[in-house]
Amino acid sequence: MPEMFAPTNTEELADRVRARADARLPFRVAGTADDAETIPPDAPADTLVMSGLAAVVDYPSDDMTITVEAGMTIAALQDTLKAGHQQLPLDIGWPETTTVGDLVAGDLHGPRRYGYGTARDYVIGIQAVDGRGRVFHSGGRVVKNVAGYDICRLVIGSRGTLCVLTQLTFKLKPSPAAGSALIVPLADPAQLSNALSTINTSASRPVVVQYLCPRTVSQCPEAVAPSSASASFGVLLVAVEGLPQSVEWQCSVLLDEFRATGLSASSATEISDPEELWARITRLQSASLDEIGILATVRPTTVPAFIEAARKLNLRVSALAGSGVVCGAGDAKAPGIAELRSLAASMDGHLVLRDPQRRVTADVPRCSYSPKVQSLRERVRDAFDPDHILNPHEWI
Amino acid sequence: MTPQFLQRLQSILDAHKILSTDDELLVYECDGYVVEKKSPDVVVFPESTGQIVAIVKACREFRIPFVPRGAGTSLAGGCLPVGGGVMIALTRMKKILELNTADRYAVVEPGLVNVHLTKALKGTGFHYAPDPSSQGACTIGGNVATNSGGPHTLKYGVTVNHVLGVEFVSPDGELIQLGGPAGSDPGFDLTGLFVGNEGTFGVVTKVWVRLTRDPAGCRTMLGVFETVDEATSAISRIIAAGIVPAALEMMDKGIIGALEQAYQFGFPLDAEAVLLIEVDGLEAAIDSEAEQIVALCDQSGAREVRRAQSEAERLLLWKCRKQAFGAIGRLSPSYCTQDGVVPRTQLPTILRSIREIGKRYDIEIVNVFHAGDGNIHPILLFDERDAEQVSRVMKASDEILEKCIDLGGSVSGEHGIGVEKISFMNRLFTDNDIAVMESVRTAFNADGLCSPGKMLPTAGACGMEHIERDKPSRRAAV
Repeated sequence: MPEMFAPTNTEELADRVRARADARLPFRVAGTADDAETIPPDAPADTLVMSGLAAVVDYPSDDMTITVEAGMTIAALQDTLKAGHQQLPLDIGWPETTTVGDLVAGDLHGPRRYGYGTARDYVIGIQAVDGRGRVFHSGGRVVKNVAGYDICRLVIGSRGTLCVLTQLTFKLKPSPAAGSALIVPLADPAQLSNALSTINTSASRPVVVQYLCPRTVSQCPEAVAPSSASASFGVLLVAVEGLPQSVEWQCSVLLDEFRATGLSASSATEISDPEELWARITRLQSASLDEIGILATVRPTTVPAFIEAARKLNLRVSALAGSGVVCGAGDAKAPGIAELRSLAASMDGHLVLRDPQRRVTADVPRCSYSPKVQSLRERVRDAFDPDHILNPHEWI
Repeated sequence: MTPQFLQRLQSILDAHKILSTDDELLVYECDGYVVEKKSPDVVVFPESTGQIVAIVKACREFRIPFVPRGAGTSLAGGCLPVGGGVMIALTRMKKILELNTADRYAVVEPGLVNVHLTKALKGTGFHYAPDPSSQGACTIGGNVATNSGGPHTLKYGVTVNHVLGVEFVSPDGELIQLGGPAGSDPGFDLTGLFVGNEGTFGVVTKVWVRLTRDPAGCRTMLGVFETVDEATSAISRIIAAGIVPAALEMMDKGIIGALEQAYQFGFPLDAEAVLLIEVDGLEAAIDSEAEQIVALCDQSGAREVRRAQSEAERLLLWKCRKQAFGAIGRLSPSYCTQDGVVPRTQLPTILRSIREIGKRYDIEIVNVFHAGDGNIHPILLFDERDAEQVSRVMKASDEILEKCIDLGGSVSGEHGIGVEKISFMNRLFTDNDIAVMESVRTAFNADGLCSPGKMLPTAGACGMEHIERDKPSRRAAV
């Protein structure tokens, strides 16, 4: 009978992990009870649920940092930060059911990566339990800290294979006073290249440079869908944030700059609820549980060519184009995915395959590393979890 | 250091790239942390990655410790060759291999001087953001080793926020690349871990760094305050108002006098503290931010807030700040600086503590530091020829760092642990924390030959216990 356990404090969690380490019993980590319900095919049946560790530990808003338990949902975090007019600008598609621990372990982020960065730019301290059941810390609660190895950053993207995160400290940003978005309809990849080049040297400083293919556009909120004009290759959504006068000026400048290069951008639309908009875009670019998903990171100038190749596989494609991140979802087959991976490598990047139902991973690995890097990864993993009891199904 | 090993080095490098006589080695007996000295047995100057691979493999074969060194500007003994051995000086590997502004990255060799990268980018609309005060001398490889900061980290982040990838020679002689132009590899962030390893994970041979757009404009101000408390109050108000200045630096009366003598900027000699505040960004926004900052300074009791009226004046102001340590020679023959960090809201408390500690130990302490980050640099003035003064300075330094820990901070914001602060690691971290870090170090550096005796309270891996420091810092001085 699968076991589900939901500790309510770190010591209890550590005790449970230690007991399982002693017995060499693997388990998976789920952020919320909802996550716990959906068990990937090759995951251990026993589940540690983090919902019992969901409190704010410390929020000195004048220091612009916050420490929370890892089971806190993103929605709860956002509500807490709104009161202080602050934000953790990492856009999450499902904030009600995604935890802070999920965010860091999954290195989750969305459209505002271009302007605000990723978890590496915000995590400044962790408390966690390793695969031996040892509670350990790294970093702290100050925004500059180089004491000891940067294990705070190591665990980003670790998908629960190194440790169970129990507390996280983030540095925060002030919430912007205003935001607006422009839409640039795209007829072909060359227009996308043109737009990206324009933005790269623009007098403005966008925070979002988001590509959406036609299939994704059709699912967008009316506010960001083009009313007319040719968009056979999709659209580029460009957003700016800041003081109202700065937002207005930047939109005006961008319109002029796009027009000067022959691109017809729409007039700016005010973003009344940025968190909801970016969450929606993030959801749109995520693969469902029935789909194959790809997440490629390539050099930004190669994004148009990569998008074209991905669309040829009949994938629904979107991209954090300014950051070189391309997401695809659909019913791709192994040979096509392998070709895309080779293409990403030729663009100095990489491709991660998301295949929840394990339909193609027998033929195409989820990710590919050089032998030396893989060897190093394994040594690092063994340093934390020598018996491989933590989320073994997530290990690549 | 056997003749066979030296012959091996001579087979890898030309003779003029190997230093081995006592007088040649004297230059390398310490870095910016002059309290502790230890000469390496030999210094080598490779010019290629292949040479570094061969050197490291030779060290491994002959079981000789080795330590990489950039410009030697470490203030914590990061380059100290504990146990002797081979010092691998990277200053001859200083090329910019690629500048790609379209994809916003550069590829550089580790010995490239930090400011030379930004100078090479002049006119492109981009720059390299991390700007340590030593940027005119420190190297990118050294910046990676210590996760260097600088005055503009408040807005732009530290080195780890700008490193996309590294290539390095591991301690077992393998050439490994982590990340690259498109950023870190998927999965856990080994590149992020590597930054700040203080040379204990291997020898960097190449770095992919992120390039940042030049700000469209900036406004630079000098807030003048009658008391330190008023200055720190202004800092708190600015941060609490949601303004993120590009830089927010504080200098107190003690250092202001020396700076004025050195640079004749026009600093007010009777002010207890000044704040150097810079906002940058779009012209449509920065005047509004600057006005808000002036108002907040006024609310905190500022005597006045001066604005730099020209680029020349702005550059002189920054020259004063960045070369402040160079002016200390006017105040005392020796100095010791600390690198503690506290939460920003604890700045008034730590500065009062520093004043009290200085009085109690009868040591003059001046302050110039990154106030916006809470990263303090108290400068303790003394004469190292007087052993009794040295003893008091060491005790006062320790108390300041202990206080930083008590206030929820850390003992190093940007200089690193090196050898200087090893004794604080058990105070800052639990046994489990240290054990985890040791395991991680072993994953990279199983033999412990690479930079032994650094950062962690143990010398290195099994078999390295014989490596002891000749002069364990403050314990020898006390």
